[in-house]
Amino acid sequence: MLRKGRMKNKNGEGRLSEWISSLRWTLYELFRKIGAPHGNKPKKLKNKKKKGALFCTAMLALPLLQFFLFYICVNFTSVLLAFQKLDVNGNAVWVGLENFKTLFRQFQTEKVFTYALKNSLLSYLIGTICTTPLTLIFSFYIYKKMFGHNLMKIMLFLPSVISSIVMVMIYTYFVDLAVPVFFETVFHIEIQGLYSNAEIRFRTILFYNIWFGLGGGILMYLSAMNSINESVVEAAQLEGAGYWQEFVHITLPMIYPTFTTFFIVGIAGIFTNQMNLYTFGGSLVNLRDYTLGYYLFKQALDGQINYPRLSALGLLMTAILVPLTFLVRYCLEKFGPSTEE
Amino acid sequence: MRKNKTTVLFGMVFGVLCLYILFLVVQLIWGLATSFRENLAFLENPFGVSGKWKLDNYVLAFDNIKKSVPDGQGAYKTVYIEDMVWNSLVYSVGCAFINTFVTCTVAYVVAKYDFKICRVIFNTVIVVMILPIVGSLPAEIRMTKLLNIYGTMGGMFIMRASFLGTYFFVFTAIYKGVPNDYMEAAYIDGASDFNVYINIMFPMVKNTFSTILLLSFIAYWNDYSIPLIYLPDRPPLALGLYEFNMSTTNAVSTVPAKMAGCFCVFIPIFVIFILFQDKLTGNLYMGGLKE
Repeated sequence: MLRKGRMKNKNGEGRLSEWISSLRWTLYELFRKIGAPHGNKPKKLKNKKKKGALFCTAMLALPLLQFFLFYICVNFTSVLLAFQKLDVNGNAVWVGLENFKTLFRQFQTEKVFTYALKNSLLSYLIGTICTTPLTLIFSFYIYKKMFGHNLMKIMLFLPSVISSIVMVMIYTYFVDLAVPVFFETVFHIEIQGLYSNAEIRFRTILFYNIWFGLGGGILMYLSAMNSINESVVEAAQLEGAGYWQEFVHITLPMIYPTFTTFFIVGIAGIFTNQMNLYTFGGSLVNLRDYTLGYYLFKQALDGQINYPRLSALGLLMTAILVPLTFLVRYCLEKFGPSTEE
Repeated sequence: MRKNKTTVLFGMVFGVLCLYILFLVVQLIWGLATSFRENLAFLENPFGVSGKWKLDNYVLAFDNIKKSVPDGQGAYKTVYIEDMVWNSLVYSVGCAFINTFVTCTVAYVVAKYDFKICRVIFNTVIVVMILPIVGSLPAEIRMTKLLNIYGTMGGMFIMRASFLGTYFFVFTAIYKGVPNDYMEAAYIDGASDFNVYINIMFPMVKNTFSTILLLSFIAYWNDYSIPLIYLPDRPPLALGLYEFNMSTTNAVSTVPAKMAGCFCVFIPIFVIFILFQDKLTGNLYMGGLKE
């Protein structure tokens, strides 16, 4: 067997399988060492631990390899790419800070960045201000099993199930062709199509993203609300607390961990949210409607010549978002409601 | 007085919710009605339902949802709707299953085994979730090309075999909630760790597993942007619809034909939603980002 394996190696075959088995052995040893119980334990217990380590190794080896390749290596390559340039054959050449200098020049000369930054911030702020309270209140309405709660739950969730391309197509033609006719027939007011009118196109897209994005968080908030201990709610009701007081003093503090999770994860969306722009207009979106997420996606599709500059842009954005995320997390934990009140 | 205030508040919430439903339902009904209308009648009155209703737009959409892709030998071949449906099925079932199974398995190991690496993994998922790394798409494309998995369905499955994300916390929370006594009893009976996982612990989370599997399936079925980048030769139905929508060919650039195309993609998912809506809108409690 061993000889056969060596022969395979000589021919360059079977190298991968040998590498995988050595990786599995290393991981097994790693688990065994870091998970080894201190002191002398009964042989049966040691055996159980050993079997557990073997099982963990088998279950975690491939996911960890995937994580290493597609998170660690990808992000490491992305950082490297920010300091490189690709030639026509796709080979990387080290250029130092050249990509960053080009980007800063572009920030000053190309208006697309001003529009994209403004739109990204605007969509995040308006989205957060409108979506968060509405999602919380709608979830509470369904949680308290108010009139029509089941229908509301299904209808709120429905847009999350429908393909964005389907929703966007129906919405675009509806607001562009049907709504003006409706206004003319019912109110005798002549209006231009809401999507074809360049002046209000971005607001039309923003409205779509906010209005149909409401259902996204409802499931999670609702599940968090359903996990609140009934006796706490009953005690508050016995003390004479109404729904509003229950919402502010019991529900919100109890679901606060879920809320902070959503809020913190949402911060990354400031620079990555495309706002479905590619679905709305493909690669022909008007410059004034750009967001940074759309810019990144479109440029990545346009070809690998853009990759180094995009990686540099991504690195700059990450440098802004990381401290912001930790600051927001700190503030939410320090000033947020407490269940011990 | 307080009761009145609450009634007014909930009345307002009910009003907004009704507005939401009305807007959504009117749009969908308008889209469905338009998909059966003749183009001339539609152009005369886009908001009405006048004219003869026919299935011609669906036939047109069925024939024209297609995409030209490189065949790997320097020429181009056309992928039709049947192949796209098959691509969508393979892509969405494969990615959803692999992603959910890997997440569920890693969450189980993290929740139930007391090795240091389990705590490291849990904290890593938190850090990855809150650490916003932007602009790694080009590097990811390069990585797939380097590994020679670019453009292959197998490559997509490998990319989706990840345990990162919100659902990891959902599974971890559930597994942590299951008492260890079940496992201990099985160990005493001589069950192996693998048997305990597959025959005892996994059935306990099968409801959540199927909910997440369904949600992921729907997300992958509807996704066109990732296949647009990574699967240029094997377009799924959503990408076909996207190309169909962007098409400027005279015959298919009418709104009724495009609406018919929309409903070709929408109907299968809507059927799944109606059949499994209890499961899909079930409990998915994930807790917070603290151990």
